[in-house]
Amino acid sequence: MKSPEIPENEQGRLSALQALDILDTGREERFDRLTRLASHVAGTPIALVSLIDQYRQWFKSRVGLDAEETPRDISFCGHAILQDELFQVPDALQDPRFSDNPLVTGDPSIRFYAGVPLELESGHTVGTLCVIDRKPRALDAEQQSLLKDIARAVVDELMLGNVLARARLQVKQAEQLRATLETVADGIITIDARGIVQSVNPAALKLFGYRENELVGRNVSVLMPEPYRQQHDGYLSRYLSGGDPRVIGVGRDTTGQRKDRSTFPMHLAVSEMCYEGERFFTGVVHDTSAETRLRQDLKESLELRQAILFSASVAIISIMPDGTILSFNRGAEQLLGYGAEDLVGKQRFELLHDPQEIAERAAALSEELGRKVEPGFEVFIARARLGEADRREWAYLHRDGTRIPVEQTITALRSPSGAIKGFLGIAVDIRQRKDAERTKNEFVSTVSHELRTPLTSLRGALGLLMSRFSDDLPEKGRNLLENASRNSERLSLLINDILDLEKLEADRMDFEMISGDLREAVSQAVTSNLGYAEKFGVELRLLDVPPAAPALFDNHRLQQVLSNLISNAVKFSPEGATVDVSLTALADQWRISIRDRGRGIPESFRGKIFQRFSQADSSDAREKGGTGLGLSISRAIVEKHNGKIGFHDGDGGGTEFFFVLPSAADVDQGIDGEASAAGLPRILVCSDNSNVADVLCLMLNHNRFHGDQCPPESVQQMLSEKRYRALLLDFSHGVETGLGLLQRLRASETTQDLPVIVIASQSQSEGMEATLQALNVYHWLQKPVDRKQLHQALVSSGRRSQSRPSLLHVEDDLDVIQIVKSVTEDLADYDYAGSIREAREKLHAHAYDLVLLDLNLPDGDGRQLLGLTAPPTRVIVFSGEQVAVPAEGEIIASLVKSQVTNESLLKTLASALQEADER
Amino acid sequence: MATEQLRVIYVDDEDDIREVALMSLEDVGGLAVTAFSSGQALLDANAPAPDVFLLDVMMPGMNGTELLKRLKACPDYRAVPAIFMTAKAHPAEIESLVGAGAIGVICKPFDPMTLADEVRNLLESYERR
Repeated sequence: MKSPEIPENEQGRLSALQALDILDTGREERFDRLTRLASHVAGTPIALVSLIDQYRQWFKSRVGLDAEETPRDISFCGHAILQDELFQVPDALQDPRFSDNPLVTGDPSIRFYAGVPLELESGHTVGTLCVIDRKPRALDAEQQSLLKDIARAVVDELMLGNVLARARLQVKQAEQLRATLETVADGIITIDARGIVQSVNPAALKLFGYRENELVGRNVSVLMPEPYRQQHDGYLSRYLSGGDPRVIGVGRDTTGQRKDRSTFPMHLAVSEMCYEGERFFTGVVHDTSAETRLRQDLKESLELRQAILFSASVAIISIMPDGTILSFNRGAEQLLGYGAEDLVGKQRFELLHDPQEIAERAAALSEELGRKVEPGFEVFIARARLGEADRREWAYLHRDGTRIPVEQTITALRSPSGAIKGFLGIAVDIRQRKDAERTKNEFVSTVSHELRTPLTSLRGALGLLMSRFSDDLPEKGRNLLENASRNSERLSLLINDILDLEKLEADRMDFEMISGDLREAVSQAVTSNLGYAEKFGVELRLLDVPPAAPALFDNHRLQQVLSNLISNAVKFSPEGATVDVSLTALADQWRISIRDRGRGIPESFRGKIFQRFSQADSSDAREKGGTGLGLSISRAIVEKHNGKIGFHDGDGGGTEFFFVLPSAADVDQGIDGEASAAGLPRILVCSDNSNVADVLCLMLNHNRFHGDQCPPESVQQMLSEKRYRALLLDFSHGVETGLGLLQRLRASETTQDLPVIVIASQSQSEGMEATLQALNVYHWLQKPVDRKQLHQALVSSGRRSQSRPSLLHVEDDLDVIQIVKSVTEDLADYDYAGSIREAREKLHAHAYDLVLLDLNLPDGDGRQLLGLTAPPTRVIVFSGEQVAVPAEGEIIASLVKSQVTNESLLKTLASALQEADER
Repeated sequence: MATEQLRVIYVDDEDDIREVALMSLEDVGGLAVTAFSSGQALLDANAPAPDVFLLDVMMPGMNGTELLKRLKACPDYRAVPAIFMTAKAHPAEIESLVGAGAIGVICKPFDPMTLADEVRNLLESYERR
């Protein structure tokens, strides 16, 4: 068998075959009808359109044969395509090239073959039209001629199929292009050389707000606002005349105009094309509104940032996580006197601050955060790290060393992932605000002081009226008087509290920090509130007192705090409840607690309880008689003592208020025993009921006496060892024992004149008067003992001199003079001077036991009168404000007008006169 | 010839001020006063309509303006003129109180000798309108 040879132009032939795009396509009638015709013309059972691929012959159309393809090397057609004309094998068995061909020896048993090459226009022969028979035969000339004609028809069909495929492809591509144009987001507009719109895509229509028929055929310049519109024709003509590619070929940003004449920013890219000899231009339009807006926003925000950074009133400092200054704006430069170049990258942020403030803040922060915060940069950023804006007042140190109060806010700068990239410190100069606050506070202070003088008279006059004449008034009148008195008290409390608060805030309140024993302070406060508690039917108890509680404190101020907390607790307790006061030792602090069983503090009020004028219920101010300033003042005072105040719910209802004060371990010597009694008159307290003795000693202490306790059997021994001003004798051990003791005392020379005050129950004291007087006892008190009565008894029992003491009141306000005169008329001979000059004369002319001194006098400061007499006369300052009482010197006390009641004025004067008398 | 006694309902939470005002209105001014210590007490009392209401402004619970609103919603009290009493004497505050439906405002501290006359004058100038 001979395999067909490969034609010389095989590569070109195969390419041409591929280009027909027909191999392995389905049956087509246009070919099948030609093979049927060929089979009929040749009279053969088989007719094929066979295409010779690289390794096979594939039948595009076949009659009388099932196979779709056969290998090329056994094909008859492989031979046929090498011929120019019809290739005929009359009897394959007789032909050595085919006699052993499997197609001859086996199925389909070919004996006769005739094939006409299918030659394309390009000259490539891609296959044959062939006819096959299973018996030998030959075609006549007519059959051959017809077969060639049919082969040419097959070639035409092959060529036609190719053209159709191409056309279809083009249509498809055109459709794709159209779809692209219609769906693309950018507007696409085609114009001709005169600028007339030829086509426009939907995006462009949408962009400009036109319908297609409104735009096609019009000059493209309608899409541009003036002045671009006029320029456009110019660009086009200049370009066409051979130069200026201003628009064409490059993109540019310009402005488009919509049908409604509104405009928008757009990017325009124009390209040129030639079609059928005519020039067209395609413009691609992109709406850049969003980008333009973004750019504008960015620009504005950058400008804003710049403006903020350059603002002169606010210091803005950015700081690296290690504290190095990263930027320092003009405001910071002006505030601190440094240039950015002095600090940026060189200095650390904490160097702008006062080291002491940093240390204090570190201590406070350590407590707040429950971990040790070292003094340093960490102090500023510890809170910012937690995601807070840490705003607080600080002092900045100016380059020249001055302190500048600022309100500084520190925030963390974070990357999008949340990591801290640095910190931003914004500081506002608050000097002006501070000045304004000071001015306001000074005004408040002045006004309040000015209110004090008239209020003193008002209060004093009402007090006197109440105590002396209220019985003479009809009930309505008495009610009115009480009403007025009550409200004048309220007003003075309010004014005093306002002044205290103002002083505390301006840091102008003087604190006399003296080593002392907190036990005494606490028991003094408890004692002085016993009466108040009684009025409310509340039991006030002092619990848990340690052996000693040394601390450094201003007792006067501490009493204010204790009284405030105790009276609050009492006020808000139900009748019959107890209020417990206790003093306990913490590590290096004392904790003073006041525990009530009241209604508790409403949740909503807890946050602002220490704020000014805050009361849980606004009606409380009236109902409970508070000013709403007490806790605010208490907190300030405790804080000035380096202490802390707080509250929490008590177990089982009620509230516990507490404060802690630092203890002073070094000051405990000399507090107890002898030293604490130094300067105070000693009183011996004899009772076999230690509770009674404790209470009596507390009362004595409050009245500026010192009490020593002893049982009846040791009285004489005690009296022989120390000098006592008086004996307080409780008949708790029975009348007999008491009287027996008294008789023994009177029998002894040393104690026959000792003032004795007897304390007895009501039943005991009945009918005792004569017995006691016989024993030289003129004062007896019934239980329960009233502190004031005790005081009166002590003062009068001790008066040895029969002459009345004399008092000089230096004061220019006649109303105040009148009040004080009335108050003191039982106590001393009253004289007054209205000016320094007058007072000088009187002090020269008479010896007074005591001077009550106003400081603001018409001809100068009252202090000019100090040191005038020898020996110096004792002085009590009674003026609009508290003055410091020095340890040495004539001034022994300072009373503030309208702060003192008639009673307390009387008491202070009485004890001063008493002491003067004793000297 | 005695004119008919003017009937006043007066509400103030503060006992001391109520005492003084009552005496001033009744003993000095000759008015017939029914006093209440809160707006709620008045609303609960179901008292007959007076000739005029005299209402404190700053009261716990229901304040004066709220109370007036409630009174205006009662058919019996709707037509009764009301006067506020307040310690807040700022002109803007007074204006807003008048805006709240009062025929006038009396400032605290009031003069006890003329309080009743003030009430009468406000009422007369209201009735002349």
